[in-house]
Amino acid sequence: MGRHVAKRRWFGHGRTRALLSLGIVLVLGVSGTYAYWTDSATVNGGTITSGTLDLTAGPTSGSEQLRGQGGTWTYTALALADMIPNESVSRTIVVRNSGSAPLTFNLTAASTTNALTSGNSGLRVQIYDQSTAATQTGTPAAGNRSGGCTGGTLTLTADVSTTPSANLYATAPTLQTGQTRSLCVRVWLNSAAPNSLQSNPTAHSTQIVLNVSAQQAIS
Amino acid sequence: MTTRGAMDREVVGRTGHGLLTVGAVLGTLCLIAAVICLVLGVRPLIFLSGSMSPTIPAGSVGFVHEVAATDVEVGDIVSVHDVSGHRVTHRVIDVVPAADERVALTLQGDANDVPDAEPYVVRSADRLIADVPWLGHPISWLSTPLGLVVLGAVAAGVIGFTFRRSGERGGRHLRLGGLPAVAATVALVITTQPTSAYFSDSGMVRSDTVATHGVTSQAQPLCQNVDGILVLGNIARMTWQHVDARYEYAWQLINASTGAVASSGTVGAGVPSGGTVTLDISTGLIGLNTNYNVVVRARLVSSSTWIAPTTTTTPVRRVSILVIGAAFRCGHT
Repeated sequence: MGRHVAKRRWFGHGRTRALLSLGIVLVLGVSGTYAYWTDSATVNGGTITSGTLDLTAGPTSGSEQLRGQGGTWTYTALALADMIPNESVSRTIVVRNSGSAPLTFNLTAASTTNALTSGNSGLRVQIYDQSTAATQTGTPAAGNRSGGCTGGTLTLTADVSTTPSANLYATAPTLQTGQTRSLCVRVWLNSAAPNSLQSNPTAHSTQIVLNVSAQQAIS
Repeated sequence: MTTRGAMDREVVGRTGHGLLTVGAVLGTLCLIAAVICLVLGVRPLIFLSGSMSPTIPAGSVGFVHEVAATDVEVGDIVSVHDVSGHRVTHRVIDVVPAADERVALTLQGDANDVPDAEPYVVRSADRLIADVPWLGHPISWLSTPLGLVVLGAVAAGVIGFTFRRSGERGGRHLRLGGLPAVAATVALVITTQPTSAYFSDSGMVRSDTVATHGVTSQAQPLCQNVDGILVLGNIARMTWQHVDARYEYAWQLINASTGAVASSGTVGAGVPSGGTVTLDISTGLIGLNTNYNVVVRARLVSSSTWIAPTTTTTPVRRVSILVIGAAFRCGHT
């Protein structure tokens, strides 16, 4: 009983316990607040993001082909067989944030082989950012297929090879959850393409690869 | 009524004491943790994302200890700053020593299927030594504006309670016993930093086949002798099937013995696909009997450098009657 009373004198006293309780407030509060100060420009200290990060892409908004982590979507409409110099094809790619956290994304262009690489007179990929539509005229038989991009800004011009091009964006844009961004991709065989790129006697064939990378945005 | 009021006070008193005891225990643990962290040079981090899940879920608090970059090994979880100054906490998957005691670390989140885009070149890194799930949520919440207000109110309440008039002693008396603890806490600020542990996702959009046309040669032309009026308009007429609407044909009339090009030209542009291309070889009035070859090469109309790799050769000859009245016929003499 005496020991119990002695214990109460120290720990059992309401004020002491209150002061000790203040320890939680101070440690947690000050540490959290400090985090808030240090990176207030870039990090909202109150945001913990669990959930998923999923960048999808498709030919139109609402038809996402590139789902889940990683993966490859073969865009069959983005093709140009039996082409001759100065022919081109344009197609729209809609990139969408299908995850539950904001993300930033970027993109590089490459080709699976160097069969159509020839300095700056071979196969070229152009990407128009935020283009509204892709247009296509001409026929393969006439050798005058021509792709165009309506609106948007020509953001990337790359003479493609197996080495990836520069990034599409100097500063990766942020996509909020559910937000989309429309890109128009134009694949063009340079009008000055040399005879060595033609498919007789050796077939010259490749595939364009757009490497899309997304990273969780810190907002 | 009086009895019930006393009971209420009793209940409130017991609940208050219970909360106070829990608070005191947690507060003491916080203080001890803060002291340990400061003494050992350990720094807490809040995981803002789940890219290290399931190992470390979002909202965890991790404790890191700074080590030289050369001590970092593959498999460690380290926290470094990226080029834009954000803290990233991921697992080391590759270590490449660089100049000047720096090390290039390739990191990858456990939940990510690709490594981070760029290796981090660092001289030191914060190695993760422990982590506590969930703890980051209250810390993080307390740094929101609402959390700060609540924090301030609680602190004010507790301080008010501590320094209230003492009923027992009947006078204004400051209880200083707990103050050192408060002072110590204020002094021992833990710098809990947010760490991103980025989620990342990368995919590939691949086109279908992009391939060039191969320029193919025409078939061996058919050569026919076509007679004009008397012998004066006699010509050799060559015909072949048009290979492709995109083609034209460059021809050369080459002296079979000297190799000199006597004349040349282009035919076939504008002929519909599958149509017949006609090339008439004729000559002027004067000339000697000579053997020639007509060499024909297919090429693109729009890009004439794109040519068929092979040509066709058709023998023809000039036939003259006493120098004048020359005509062309198929074949050599």
